[in-house]
Amino acid sequence: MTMQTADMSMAPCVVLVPHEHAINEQLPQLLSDRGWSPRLEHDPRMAMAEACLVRRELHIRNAWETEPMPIPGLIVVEPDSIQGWKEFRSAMVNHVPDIPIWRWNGTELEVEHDADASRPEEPPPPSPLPFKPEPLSHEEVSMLLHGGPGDTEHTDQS
Amino acid sequence: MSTAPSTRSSRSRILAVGPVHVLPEDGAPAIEQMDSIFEALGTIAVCPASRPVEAVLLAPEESEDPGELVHSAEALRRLDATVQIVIVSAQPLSPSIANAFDGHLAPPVDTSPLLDLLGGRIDANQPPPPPLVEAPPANDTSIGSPTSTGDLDATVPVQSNEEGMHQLGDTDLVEAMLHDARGVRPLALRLIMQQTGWTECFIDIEGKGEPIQFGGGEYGSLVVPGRSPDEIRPWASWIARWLALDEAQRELRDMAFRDELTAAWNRRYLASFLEDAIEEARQLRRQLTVMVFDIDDFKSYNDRFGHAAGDIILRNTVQLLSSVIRDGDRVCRTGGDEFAVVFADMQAPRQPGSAHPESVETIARRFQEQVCNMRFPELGLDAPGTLSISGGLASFPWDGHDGNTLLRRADERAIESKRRGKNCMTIGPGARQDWPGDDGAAEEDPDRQDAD
Repeated sequence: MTMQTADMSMAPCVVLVPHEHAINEQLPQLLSDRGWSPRLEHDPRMAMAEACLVRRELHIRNAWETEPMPIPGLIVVEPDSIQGWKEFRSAMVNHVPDIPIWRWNGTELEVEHDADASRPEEPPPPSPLPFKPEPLSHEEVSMLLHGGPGDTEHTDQS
Repeated sequence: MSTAPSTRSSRSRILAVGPVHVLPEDGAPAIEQMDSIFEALGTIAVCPASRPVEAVLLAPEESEDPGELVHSAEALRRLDATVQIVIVSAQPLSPSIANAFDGHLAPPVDTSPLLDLLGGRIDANQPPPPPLVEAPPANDTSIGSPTSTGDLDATVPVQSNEEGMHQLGDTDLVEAMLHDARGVRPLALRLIMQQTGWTECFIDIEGKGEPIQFGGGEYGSLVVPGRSPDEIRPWASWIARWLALDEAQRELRDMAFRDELTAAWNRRYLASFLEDAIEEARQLRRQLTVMVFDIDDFKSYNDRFGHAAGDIILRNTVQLLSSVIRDGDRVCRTGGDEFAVVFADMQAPRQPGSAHPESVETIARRFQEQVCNMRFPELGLDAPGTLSISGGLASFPWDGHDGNTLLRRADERAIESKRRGKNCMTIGPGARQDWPGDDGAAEEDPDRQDAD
């Protein structure tokens, strides 16, 4: 089967810009250079919903692709002028810590929340069994395989 | 207001944002208080499928305008369209605000109306539905005496009828409703003429007679040349009830035999239709072909683009197929992405030594090609580029004499197509031959695979 897919190289990110603020040309250029495709939002509630959807979308995509694509995250312009910014940030970090948050200072992106830092470390190796299993005898293997004692090599006579 | 228990799953969750006060009562649902709308969004974003968030109650803060909550509702909906959003406010809401929510409750919230609202038994923003049975018309003595018992037959104004003519009645109308493809309309008009002695009576869709209306449905106008509106009106009212019942019956029948997602016929219909069509083909000495196919790697589309995308693909596939088949053919959805098409167009022209097998093959091939060319712009940039299908065809009488055998043979050939690398149609030798005894040569072609 042949399957053609659209260009998936651009990773979607969400840009939260308060209504009264404009963004200069540098930000779109920077995002483009990073291979990020911006989705613009003016309301923090919509931005959070969109960021969660992008996260879900990338999780699904990464489950399919052999090379997972990192979540670019959420870029916030003038966060201090956003109503409910603290609650917004707190909820993002608590519930979806794997979404990085960036702050646009007018010339570059600063890390507001580092998703890598909040990522749990590698899970610990499984603890050893509390007992040491004894090796099975040939006869026991034969019992398990054929329901009776005998040779462990099974011959298919069909 | 109903106090029936909610049908909610006990594992589903209800979140509250803002000062939502629920009266402590027996059976009150557990409600999780969120610190902010952002907490609610985060909770929904990561909630496990086994414990979904069913509803969010939004209450404005003391100084907050309820209209502000519309954006919160929009954000919640964007994240999860299935979550019910209820506003809890003592203030009356304008329609534009109320429409943004699934319901409106006044604080403090009683358990019963909340559960009713979440169970879908009441809709705070919608007007109540019209009554199921409209009151019969007032007594009208101009023609007969329609009674006010509400019974369909009892409202029939009894008048003279032709001597010796079969007395039509409700059993005939019910019979027509159940078995006549034209429905009750022709019979009901005949019954009116029989009862009144009128020689002409018809329904005008343009609405130039007495309106035929019942329960919110409009069915045109009843026209009887030379009769006054007062004479016609009771009959218009009478026939309106039968037409409404007929329409409801058709809708129910459609629901029983149609697949809700794609509007294709379902497996139940396929079994019934196929046996009838084979019997008809046997009598008319025509052939009939069944094509069974599925979409290659459909599961991967579902996994990759989500079930909504999968639904779009299925709907578009059925629409496309419906556009290439003939009037008498049927498209049926028999499983997730599995379809059966019955090529049973008995009216299709059939020349000696021709052409039915070839025309079916042509249709199948055209469909296969068009599926490959299908695009899904509504799925956005990540939409799948090329779909393909794999299937098999089996024909009566060569491959079997009953529906089950034909479907099994077609299914075996569809599996063979998959085995051969997908995007493939396997056509049996039967579908490439003419009716036994006809002039056409009976070629003994082996099963043939046509892969694009």
